[in-house]
Amino acid sequence: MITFEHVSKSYPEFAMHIDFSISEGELVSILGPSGSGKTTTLRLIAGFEHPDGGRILINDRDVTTKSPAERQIGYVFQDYTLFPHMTVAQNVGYGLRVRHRPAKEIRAKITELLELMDLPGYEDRDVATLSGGERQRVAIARALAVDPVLLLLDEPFSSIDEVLRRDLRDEIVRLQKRLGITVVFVTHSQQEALAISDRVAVLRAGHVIQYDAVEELYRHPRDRFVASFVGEANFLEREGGTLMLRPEQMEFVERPGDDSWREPRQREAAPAPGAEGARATAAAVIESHQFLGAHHRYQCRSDLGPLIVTSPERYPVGAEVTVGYNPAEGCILPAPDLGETP
Amino acid sequence: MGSGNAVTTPEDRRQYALFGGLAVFFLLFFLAPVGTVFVRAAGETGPGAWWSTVVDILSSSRTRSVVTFTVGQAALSAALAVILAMPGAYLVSHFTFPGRRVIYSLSLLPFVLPSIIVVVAMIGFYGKSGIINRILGTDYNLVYNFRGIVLAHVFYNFSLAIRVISTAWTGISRRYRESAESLGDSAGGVFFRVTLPLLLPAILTSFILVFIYCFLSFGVVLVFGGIKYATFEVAIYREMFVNLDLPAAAVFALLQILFSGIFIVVSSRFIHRSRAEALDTGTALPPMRTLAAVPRTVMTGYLVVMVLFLLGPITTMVIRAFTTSAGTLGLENFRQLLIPGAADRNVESILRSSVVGVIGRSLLVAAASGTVTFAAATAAALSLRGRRTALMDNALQIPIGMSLVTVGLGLRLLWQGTLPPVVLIVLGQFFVAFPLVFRIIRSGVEELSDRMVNSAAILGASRVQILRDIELPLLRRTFLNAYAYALALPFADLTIVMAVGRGRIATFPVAIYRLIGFRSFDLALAMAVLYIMFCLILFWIIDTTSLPKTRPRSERS
Repeated sequence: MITFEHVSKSYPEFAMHIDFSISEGELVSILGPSGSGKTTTLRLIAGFEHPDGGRILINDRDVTTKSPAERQIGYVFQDYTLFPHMTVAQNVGYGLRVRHRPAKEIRAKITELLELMDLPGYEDRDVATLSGGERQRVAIARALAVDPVLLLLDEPFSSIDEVLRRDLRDEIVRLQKRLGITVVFVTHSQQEALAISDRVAVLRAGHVIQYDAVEELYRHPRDRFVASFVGEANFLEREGGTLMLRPEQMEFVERPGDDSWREPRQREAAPAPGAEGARATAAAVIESHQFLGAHHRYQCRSDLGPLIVTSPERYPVGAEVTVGYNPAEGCILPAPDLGETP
Repeated sequence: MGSGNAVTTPEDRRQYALFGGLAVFFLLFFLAPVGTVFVRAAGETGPGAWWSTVVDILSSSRTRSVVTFTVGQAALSAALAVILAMPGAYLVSHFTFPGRRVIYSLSLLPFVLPSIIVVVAMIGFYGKSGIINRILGTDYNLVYNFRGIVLAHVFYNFSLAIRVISTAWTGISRRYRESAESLGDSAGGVFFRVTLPLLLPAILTSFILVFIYCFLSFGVVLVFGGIKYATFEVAIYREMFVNLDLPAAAVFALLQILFSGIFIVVSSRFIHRSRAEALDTGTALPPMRTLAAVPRTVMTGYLVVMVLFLLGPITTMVIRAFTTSAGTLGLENFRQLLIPGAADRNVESILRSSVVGVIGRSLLVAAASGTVTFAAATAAALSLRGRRTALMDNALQIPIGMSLVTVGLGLRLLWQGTLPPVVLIVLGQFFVAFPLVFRIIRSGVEELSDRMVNSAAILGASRVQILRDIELPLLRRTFLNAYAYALALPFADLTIVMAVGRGRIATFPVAIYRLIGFRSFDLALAMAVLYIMFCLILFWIIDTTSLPKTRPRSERS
């Protein structure tokens, strides 16, 4: 679908070098800290930027020197950039109008898309009167109107509130599955990336350092940088490398000496299905606590170093606990940390 | 530009062609003419003698006085303009009051009014037989001297300073002030420790702008300076056309370029550094308060004086133009101007053209020059969108600091015989207006989000469609504004027309200059009023015939 072949681009601040490809019908997130080249990657796909070297292929067609107009791509900008001097219908129909499609076809397409985006009857609305979520849906409708081979979304949820964000996220996933369109999505939020993508490309300083399915990325990060970037992680130093365990892969197995609070439900001590090897334990002291709704998050000091453990139970700060985990469930990261030298 | 891109797109190729064309144009009609002035001058002194000639001219007391006067009057005028502008800028940026818009709009004065009309207005107001002297029953000579020059320059530029400073003042986030207040600073402390430092770039910018305008002043000094005072521009003109001393003209031109270069390099440092720091665009403006919060009398007094200072001369000019020799209101002056034989003096022989000819020529030259300038500036600004090309931006601003007399003179020396003088005037005026017109469009285009244009591009719009559907409607104000300047600057230009035509090709400003020179002051007043009328008509036409808005803005929001 999209292939980056040794694509390079230099800026005074950093140099990009990208080699990866996205398959048809996938929802792929490009995830990375700010300044890692996420948006530039998207702009290279769209044709707003041209690489210094290498080739970009879309459906096996070399588009490296093609203008944005020639690529048939839908692009939804961070701030939606609805044309302020046009109505909703004029915005949605713009791509068809500049292609000189018949007026009847344009009208039909606008109606169809507004219905698809759950905005029926919005044709004549002034875009200034729309809410953030409505604006975004108009922007998506506008991008979809030209039947793009690919939809690019640049941090589309960054300027809307948390509740709406969740709804729109679901909507994009639904839409993507329904239309079967390839979607590439830029975000700096790992939560967002994991929630909606099939695969995630983690970018750092202009390089794709890992490109994997979301669960693979979460369970088997390539290095410490990816491990901490896509979620919280515990790093246990051992011979031959670092063992990485997610907080939910650790638990309190022994209740503290004090009986004044509820005894935690004892979990199954046997290894999890598919996991091998014996369980290990470590003595720890709870140093701080946060209530996160579904569970509690504890920061502990232990013989193994600082640990983050989640638990459905409430423990007091200062309690002495025993943390249990199955080393086989974790992931061995190579040492020294490759992430430091991109 | 391409910053080493290995990949060349058709867009890149279009840009190379555009900037290649602009470079050739600058070379042929700007750099080569200026170079010609120096080459011819060196040729006149003969080989070997030119260096001693240069040294002679440089060490003459005349040169010293030109340098001292040019720099001195510019510094004094700029300082006075900025000091007078500070209270005005405070008022305009903090309060709403009747006349606020007027003060703001008046800052366009230096660009739209030809200096020669300022001269006419100043003579009518402050001159020996001006209103002030008539009211006081005195005959102080307030204008034909150093005082008059500085007065005219302050009059001309002080509202520009108000505009620059008040814009910055409005943009200083209230949060900075409130933070300082919450930390316990006093009102005065907040001003000196927080507001003033944030405002300083704007103050410096306006000082430098006014300084450069005064430094390059031609018309005001040509009339008020007599033989005693001359800026570089006037000195170059006089050496060339009065003393017929091309080497001396060239030395003054060289000095002028040198000084301008230094000022512009120094000022661009300040101006660049200032922007990001002083302006906090993220915060909405606080609602305008009313005048009640300040000592009403003080501020009202300031306003009255300033409005009188600004509007007095202009109003006087208009009233006097409509005053007959018998002291009653009437059209006598206009009749004498427009009807051949109605005046005691032969107007046509003073102007070397009929008044109708002057009007036609002025309009034609302004339309040609303005349209070419606007088209070139638009093309350049659109293709530089989103690029921070200090080199290109600065290169395109070079004409701002260049001696226009030298450019006109060079055009005449190099192209006379090949191109008719009117065409040379049009070409010369391109460089008068281009830097400003380009800057207006460039900043407007930059304000239009890059994403807006990219959105259209990715939806399949061609370059022309983007221009038609997105840029023109959204930048309508910017383009109109720029086009108005592109027309107004050549329409008001005295310098190029004088330098190319030696005063023999009459446009509006030249006609006024000649009428003053021939002591037909009342006719000069009438001519000035005619000029202003044409300006107003011109702007009215631009405003009403421009593209209609796609549709009215929402009635709901």
